Amino acid sequence: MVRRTVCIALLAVIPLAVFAGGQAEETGGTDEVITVEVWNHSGKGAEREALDASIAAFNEMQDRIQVNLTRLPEGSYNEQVSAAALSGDLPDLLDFDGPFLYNYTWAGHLIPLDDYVSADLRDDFLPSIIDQGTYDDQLWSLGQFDSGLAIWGNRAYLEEAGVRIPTSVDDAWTFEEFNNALEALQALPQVDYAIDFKMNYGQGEWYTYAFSPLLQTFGGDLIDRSDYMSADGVLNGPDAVAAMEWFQSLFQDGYANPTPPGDDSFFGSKTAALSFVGHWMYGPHSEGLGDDLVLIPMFKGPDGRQVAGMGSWNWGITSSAEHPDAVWEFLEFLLSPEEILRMTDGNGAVPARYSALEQRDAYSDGGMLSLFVEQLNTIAVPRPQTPAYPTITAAFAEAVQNIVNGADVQDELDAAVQKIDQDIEDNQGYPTN
Amino acid sequence: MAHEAKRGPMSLARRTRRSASTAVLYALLIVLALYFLFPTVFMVVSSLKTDELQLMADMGGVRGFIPYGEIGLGNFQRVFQEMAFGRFFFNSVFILVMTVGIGLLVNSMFAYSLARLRFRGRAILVSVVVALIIVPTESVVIPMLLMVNTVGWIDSYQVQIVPFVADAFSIFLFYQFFIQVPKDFDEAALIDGAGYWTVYARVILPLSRPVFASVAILQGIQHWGRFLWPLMVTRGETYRPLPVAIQQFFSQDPKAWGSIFAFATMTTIPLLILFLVFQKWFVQSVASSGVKG
Repeated sequence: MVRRTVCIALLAVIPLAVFAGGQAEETGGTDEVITVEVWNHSGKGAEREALDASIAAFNEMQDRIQVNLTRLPEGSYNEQVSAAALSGDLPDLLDFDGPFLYNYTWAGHLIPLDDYVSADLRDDFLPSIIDQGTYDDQLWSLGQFDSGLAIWGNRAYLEEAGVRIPTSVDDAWTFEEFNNALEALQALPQVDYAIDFKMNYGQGEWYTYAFSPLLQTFGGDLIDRSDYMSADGVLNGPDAVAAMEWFQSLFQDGYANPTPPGDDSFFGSKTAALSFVGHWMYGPHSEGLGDDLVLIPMFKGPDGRQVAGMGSWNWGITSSAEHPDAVWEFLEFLLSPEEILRMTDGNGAVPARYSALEQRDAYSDGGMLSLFVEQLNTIAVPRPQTPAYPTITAAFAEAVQNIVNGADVQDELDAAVQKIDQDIEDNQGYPTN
Repeated sequence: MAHEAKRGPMSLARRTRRSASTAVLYALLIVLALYFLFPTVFMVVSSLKTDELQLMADMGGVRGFIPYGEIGLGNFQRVFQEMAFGRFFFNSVFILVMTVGIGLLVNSMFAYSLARLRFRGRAILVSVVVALIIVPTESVVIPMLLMVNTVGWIDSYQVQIVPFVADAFSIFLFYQFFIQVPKDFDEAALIDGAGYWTVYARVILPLSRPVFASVAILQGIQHWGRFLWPLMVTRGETYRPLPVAIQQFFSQDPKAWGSIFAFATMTTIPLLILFLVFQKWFVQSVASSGVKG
């Protein structure tokens, strides 16, 4: 009886002791030092190490501002940020995947950066970074890097198939040339699939990031960008339907694998001649193909349009920041060329500033990756700058998956439009004031 | 003699038929057992495959269930290198033990009072408990979030424990069990001078081990996999439980499936152990109450 009573008493007391301990940890710190709370998605190891090093360097170089980093799991990052916004405990500075900015901004979670960013600093950023960070004519976010999306090719296969290798945006394949190239490459005995679309990444942001430029190349889009009030007639219009029917035919005709067993058909088994993927695969590609690796610009659409994807994680100062000047001081440090290069040397992304780009041979004129910069400067289109973006990307990604699996293109795009328009209607058109 | 000789071949035929039907039944049961075991086998086997490309290639077919190729513990090592798995594991176990442990005490005492004490409003309380069973947690998380934020509990242990200690379904299970325990036991103890606390602790509790085991397992399963609430109320790594921590691997493409399966395996095994430990009592309770998980 005594033993049982003691056990029960312990059960009741232990949590109280632990809670008391947990709360005691939260108090502390000095009044003189401004603490900047930063949230960041977990990302890859190299990105984590680079940011940790940047924060350590900033904390060491001065003693007025202390930066504290909280790293949240990437798979649930947006949900956790939304919950924190709801409970009013957002940090001072947070990062987010590019197109989610507009929803955060519309909801009032961020402050504009225009007063902090000088004209010279603004001009030093790639235009794609400024485009991505702009909403309602104000600049809300800046990133350390942008992404590059193009077609990677196997030079040996291209030459064997007699396919011309374009080297610049102007020089890109016409639509007819691209289709002929796929046919010629598919005919090679060592090739199982002419092009790898990385369908193994699965339904998610990849589908919108990678395949919405195909829509735009044909003249369609994810939403009518004149007022962002409807996707009807744009996402399910004749141009978009033609784009997705052509895309579907690539899988049905055997040029692309809808269910690739792995990630390496281009650079490992070399059973794919082309790979439609971003900058992050440069390492494995160059390792697997060596001098045979070529980077090919986005092809021109049936009417000559040319569009490349863009956008990546970027930083914004929250409206709950008590010391926005101090937060900007840290963000400005993070966006310095040295810190940008510390990050991009680790994750292989395109440095966001020209003053950083010019310090790396790969991005200078004639460099292996200079094409990414050229595309970002000329033909890159940001994903729709609207608070409805989370709904748009979910609806489009689902449609893409079903279309690749053989569903009727018009039906799928109509369904996506219905979901998007319903969301906009439910939010009264996302009024800005 | 003649009678026995006649009965012999008939018995043999019957035995043969019975053996055949038993064999068919067992074959069917084995197929069903394999069907239900497949996901777990797939997870464990995949966690041991250290070649990520082979793992992805095998995921589309039967080879996903066969341990071959590069086999090792590399994926498990990577999980520990990439994150503070031990911390997250401790958090999940601590939250589970506290929630279920305190819950068993509180809910059983509440159910005991409903089953045995006579007071005004008792019938209404029983109805309210039954009604609350059908309210899913997801439907009340937003007001709950605002409430716990008001008291400053965000990112703590208590925010993951206290809201789930009182559980309508557990109370109902205890109540159902307690009202079947003959009142004669209570009355005998009361006549001998015992108070209600003594009756609860020394008479009711020893008789109720099966229902305690059932509630512990059912609540354990529910809390071990809880995702939405900790996602909303935890921030840093200090109080993060396993279901939120695994989201770190669902990051940039391509996914690290080996690490994901290793993480999932290490998350699943404790629950299997919990079930095996309480299995005897759990089965007893299922048999007596007709409740299953």
